[in-house]
Amino acid sequence: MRKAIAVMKKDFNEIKKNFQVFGVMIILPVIFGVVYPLILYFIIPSLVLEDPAALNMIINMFSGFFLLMAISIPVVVAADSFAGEKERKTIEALLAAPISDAELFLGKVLVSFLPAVILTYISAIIYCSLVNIALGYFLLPNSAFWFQMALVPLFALLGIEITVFISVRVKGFREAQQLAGVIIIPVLGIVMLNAFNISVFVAPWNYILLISIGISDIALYSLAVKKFGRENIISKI
Amino acid sequence: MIRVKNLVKHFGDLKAVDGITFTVENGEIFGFLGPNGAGKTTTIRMLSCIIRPTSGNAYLNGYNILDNPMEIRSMVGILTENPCLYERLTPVANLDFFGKLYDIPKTIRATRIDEILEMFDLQDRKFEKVETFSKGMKQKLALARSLLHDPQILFLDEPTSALDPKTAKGVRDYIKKLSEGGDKIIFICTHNLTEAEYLCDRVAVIDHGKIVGIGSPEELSRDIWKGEQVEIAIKNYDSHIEQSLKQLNFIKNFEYQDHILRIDVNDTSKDNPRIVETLVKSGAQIVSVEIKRHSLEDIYLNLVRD
Repeated sequence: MRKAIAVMKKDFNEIKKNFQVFGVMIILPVIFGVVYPLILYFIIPSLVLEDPAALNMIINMFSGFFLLMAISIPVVVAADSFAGEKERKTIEALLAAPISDAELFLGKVLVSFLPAVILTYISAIIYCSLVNIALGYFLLPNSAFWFQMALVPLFALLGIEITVFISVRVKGFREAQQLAGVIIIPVLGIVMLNAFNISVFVAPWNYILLISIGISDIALYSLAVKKFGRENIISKI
Repeated sequence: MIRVKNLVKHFGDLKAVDGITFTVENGEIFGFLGPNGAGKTTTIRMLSCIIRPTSGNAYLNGYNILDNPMEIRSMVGILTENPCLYERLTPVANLDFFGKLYDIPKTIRATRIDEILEMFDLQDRKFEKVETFSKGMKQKLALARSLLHDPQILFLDEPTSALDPKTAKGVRDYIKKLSEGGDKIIFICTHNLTEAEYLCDRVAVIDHGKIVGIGSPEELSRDIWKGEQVEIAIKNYDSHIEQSLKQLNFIKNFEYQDHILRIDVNDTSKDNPRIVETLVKSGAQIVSVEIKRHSLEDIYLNLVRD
């Protein structure tokens, strides 16, 4: 575990100096956590009176964006962490070091997973607070919102695992990021359904979604660890 | 000690390494030579447990690459063809990270990093990003990283490629110094035959995944040319001298051209005194006697024909 944390810290120090990645980590929380709530803050008072249905749709849609955030941040970070090392030709010395495949994989997962989950939760707290203040009463988090928050770590992990699969096979960061970006499309679908009040965040769909994503995470994790073998990585340098 | 037994590596249909066997003793600088794609880097990667062999095994100080990869990774240092440095980080951050991976205790890590940066004249730049460094400095830092945990076996893949002559000489001198009086094994892959000749006690030449020659340059030369040649400059060569040489049955062949007598023998150290004695007795005025040595380049080009 000590070495996994060393990998995580090293990667995070690198990411902080890489605007391409760190920019995404900052911009997404600012948009979802601050810009959108501020928009709501200003339009809510008029919508409350004029069009409560539209207000409900907008709040639902913006709430769903946190799932997009939970999956987008790890895709970018993991693409840099895995494929980026290959692209920058730094991976070989790391693979020659006395660290097990599992520790190395865990370190790389943590650096993608932790910022995504922490930033998503912080943005969600800001979002809920601003919406409640604008409404003048306590709306969020409601049960659907809580449910989405429960899905955040599961989606983050899913994003990382898919990015690992892709990163092992491609040579560079951009290629990995673009291919892994496709995973956002089904999440976007869920968000849009939610916006139009066809919510998958109510029983029984919420439980089906939770269980199926959880099972996918577990299955993909063991596959990703296998695929993350040193030989698979070095063969694509 | 490194003991490699029948090591094979396939990548699909390609046989990158095809049943190589050799031994490297402690304290040796061992050169691994061969053309691009011959299997040098693949061999280093197998020996440093980055990739697994398709078959065969290798033992490094008693540990084998199939069952003890972690022990082997801990005891070897590797300088890869690319410096493999995190360019956005400082030298201290780079070395501290690898210090953690190689289990250097926190209490001595900082001191060890300072020592090794001092050794490579990088102390003044230790808090600057690596991306601002010249190629030579990056190579020195990569070498420093490979030595950080004081490895017993050091694998160096093209250690001076892309370096200017002065820096390359500095790196070569440092490698030589490292091996002096110690029992470290230094295993060098290089295309630079002058460098290999200067540094290595023994070399192995690999071609198409097979070892086509192994030994000291002198041994290889003897094996290839089935003996040695001595060149004797003589002022007054005549038929009397020629006749006296024909009496020496250990001489395989000789010819005289442009005042130089070239004689092929099995072993110059044994045969030269008798040749010189015979020539002097037959009245030859000898100007010089020189053993013709084949350079490592001659040896390499003879072994690697394509």
